[in-house]
Amino acid sequence: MKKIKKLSATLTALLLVGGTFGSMAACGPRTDDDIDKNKTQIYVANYNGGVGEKWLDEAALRFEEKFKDWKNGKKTGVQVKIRHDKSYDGITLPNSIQGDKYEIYFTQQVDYATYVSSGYVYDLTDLVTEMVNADDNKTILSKFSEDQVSALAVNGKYYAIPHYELYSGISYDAGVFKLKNLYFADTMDTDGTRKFVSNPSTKKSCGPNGVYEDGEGDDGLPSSIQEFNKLIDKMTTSSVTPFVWTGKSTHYTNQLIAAISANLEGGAGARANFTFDTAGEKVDIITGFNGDEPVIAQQAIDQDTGYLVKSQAGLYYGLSVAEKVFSSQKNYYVPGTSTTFSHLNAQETFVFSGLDGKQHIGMLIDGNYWYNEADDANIFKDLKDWYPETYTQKDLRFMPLPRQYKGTVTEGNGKSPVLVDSYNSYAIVNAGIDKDQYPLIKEFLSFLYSDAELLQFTKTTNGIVKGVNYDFSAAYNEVDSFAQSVLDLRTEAKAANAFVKSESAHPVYRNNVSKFTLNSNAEYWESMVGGTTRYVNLWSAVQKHVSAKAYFEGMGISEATWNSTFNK
Amino acid sequence: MENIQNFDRKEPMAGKDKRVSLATKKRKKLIFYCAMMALPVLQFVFFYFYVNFNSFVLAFQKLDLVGGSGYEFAGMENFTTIFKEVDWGVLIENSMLLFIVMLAFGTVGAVMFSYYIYKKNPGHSIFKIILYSPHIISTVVFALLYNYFIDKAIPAIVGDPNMQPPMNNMNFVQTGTIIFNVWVSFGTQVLMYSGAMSGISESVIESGQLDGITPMKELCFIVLPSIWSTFVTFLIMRVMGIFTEQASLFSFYGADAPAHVQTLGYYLYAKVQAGASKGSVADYNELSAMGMTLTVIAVPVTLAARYCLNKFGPKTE
Repeated sequence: MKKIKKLSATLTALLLVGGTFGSMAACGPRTDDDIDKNKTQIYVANYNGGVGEKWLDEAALRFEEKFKDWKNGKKTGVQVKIRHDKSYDGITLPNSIQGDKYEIYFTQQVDYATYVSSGYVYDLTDLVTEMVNADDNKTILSKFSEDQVSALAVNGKYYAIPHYELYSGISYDAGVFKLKNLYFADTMDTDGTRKFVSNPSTKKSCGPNGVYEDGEGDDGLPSSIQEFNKLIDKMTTSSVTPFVWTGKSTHYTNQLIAAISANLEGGAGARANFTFDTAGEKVDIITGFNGDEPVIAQQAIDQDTGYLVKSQAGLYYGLSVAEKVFSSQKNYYVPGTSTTFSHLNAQETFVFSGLDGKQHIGMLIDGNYWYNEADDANIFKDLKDWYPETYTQKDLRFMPLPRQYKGTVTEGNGKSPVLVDSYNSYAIVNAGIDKDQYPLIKEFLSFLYSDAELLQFTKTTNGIVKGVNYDFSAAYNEVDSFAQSVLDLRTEAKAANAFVKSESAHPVYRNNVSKFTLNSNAEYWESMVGGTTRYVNLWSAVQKHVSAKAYFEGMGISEATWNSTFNK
Repeated sequence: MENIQNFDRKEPMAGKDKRVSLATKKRKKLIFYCAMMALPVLQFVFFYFYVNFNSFVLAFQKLDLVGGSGYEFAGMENFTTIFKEVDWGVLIENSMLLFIVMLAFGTVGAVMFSYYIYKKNPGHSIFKIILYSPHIISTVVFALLYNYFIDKAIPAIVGDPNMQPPMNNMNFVQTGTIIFNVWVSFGTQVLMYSGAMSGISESVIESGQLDGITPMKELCFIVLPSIWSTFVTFLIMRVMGIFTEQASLFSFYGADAPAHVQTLGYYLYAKVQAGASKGSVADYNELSAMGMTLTVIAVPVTLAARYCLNKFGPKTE
């Protein structure tokens, strides 16, 4: 009897201990069972939303092969242990990083200044500034842009390396544009804009960049806000629903405003959102309204007038387009506004639009990464399987957006596109690593940031650009047409110094990241309408009959608030 | 002799055995006690004491985000900031509205339903299952089901597929979320109240019935006083939750809940949960200050509510 009692007590204890440690083990890497004790391991965590997993899995295999003779005591060779998980986003990572066994993280939405100040991240200065990878013959720092050098240096030290670039914006179905004659023609209309093409062979307008590209590139796309609004109206009369987005995350609608605003603000104005300085360049500032018409003055922004970043005319016109879209159900896919309608539902609806009697949808509000997400979710595979004869009609592209408020852009008078990367994606190293591991971590990261691997990243991720400078032109022909449309815009923006990253060393930015970062769900987009009623986004405000003008005024920062709260 | 010798030798040994075994038993009991208590104590120390102490410290600190030198003393700066920046009016209004509706419909409704079940009126068993089902399924899943029902089924029922999905219709959001909260609040309350009611002496009920008591009077003058302690517990929990109740808004909208329906509880939760996008770890200092401020208000209110309910509530004796 005693034996049975003892046995049952032992079993209970074992079960309890097993249960506890079992659940604790569940928090660790999924593949601990295949650890090779003869090799040295590196533990890598990867946020796998947007750009996925394949790039890292393949790069890790190449690294293991290259370092198969790496000696560490009695061990030879390296094993890269990877955990792919969406829980490794930069927002929630601070909750677990200090007790986490992972050494390297590839993540996004990192509040860099907070990570550094809180001591979460390892000092990577030597890795960034010294030549580690002899094959590459370059330092990682030499691949940083000037903006990055200034934004990432904290007391001369670097704690992160930019990971990838993602851009908010709109994608359009060029197949629908062609089918429904939604492109602007080269002929002028009486209202100062262009007429629409009457058939696919009509010569298209020169588009927002003011350069004729044989009907390709941005040719025929709206070059002004007036034309963009005209396009929305044309779509609704042509049985095309202009927009679809996810109702589950209504903040995605801010991507429409962000992308339009940035293109109107220009590189200097868009960059000033983070640096509070246009370097002497004058940008369009709204000083008041004459009725509903904005009064615009040109003014440079600097440290003392930083509050003007939220008075830029581009922001108002971005809001005005969104107001137009939200204020009529004809302008958007109504079932898509349900809180049960996810980003994947929106992508699927966009991709399958027009097929099998479904309504045509012209544009999708989502970042450029949506294409990879849809691919991972087998949306394109389903498209090919289910519509083998008609899927080729699909011609999805990332949309170049208008660069002026009214009229039309004429040849030679266009402006370059502006792209804003507001996803703050970085590679970081856990501050709690075993110091003996650092040499290997250095090798791994420098390997991943070699030119060859950077190019491979762009190829594997179908056109996603790594967040540092390198030549990705060799990848262009290996990615599909959607990715090419993104790369074209990125190349054009970069060449015109109109590529902007939401990072800055400016004290106001570092101390108030949540208020100035342009993530679509950031506080930046909130408005205190009439000084009394707070709205988290324009979508909810328009339903309460709030105008773009009132919303814009509610988003503004007064000079007094700037001086008392921000620029102290 | 040998036997005596044996007995003499054995007797003190047996006593020692007894003492040893008593000490061992005591020691084993102590080990068992420690083993059983270690986890709860550790949990209390880490998840209650440490967390709250840390919040207290954070409320008076600020991260040096420019120099990167970590936390520094900030005095009352975080408190000043939250009073300037938080939209207190709407948050308090929504929290109070939720509290009043939950009190009026959630608590009163739960007592009525429990009484109905207690009296074994027709369909009481199925009624119990319907009311308790939201607690069998996780709230997140139930919120999703409710969402689907409201957004998909209602447009289909009214025959308007182009109807704006109600849960994203700003004129319905508050009503929709409050109905959900009242519904999910019934489960535990009904279970507890009907459990407490089943303990009421049959003779007390019968004597009331002999005197011709109506069901409403029976509920008010016999049943309610008999379950008063349970009722008070729920009421105090409700008062305690005024500032922490997030109205399941995160389950419906994530960090995107429309501002005009946000409660104080949701605001705090969303800010912490959404981290760097909506706020930032750097904002934890201000959020800690906000939490402390709310605690300072909630503690006396809760204690006063408990005092009043115990002092002025009905007595069964």
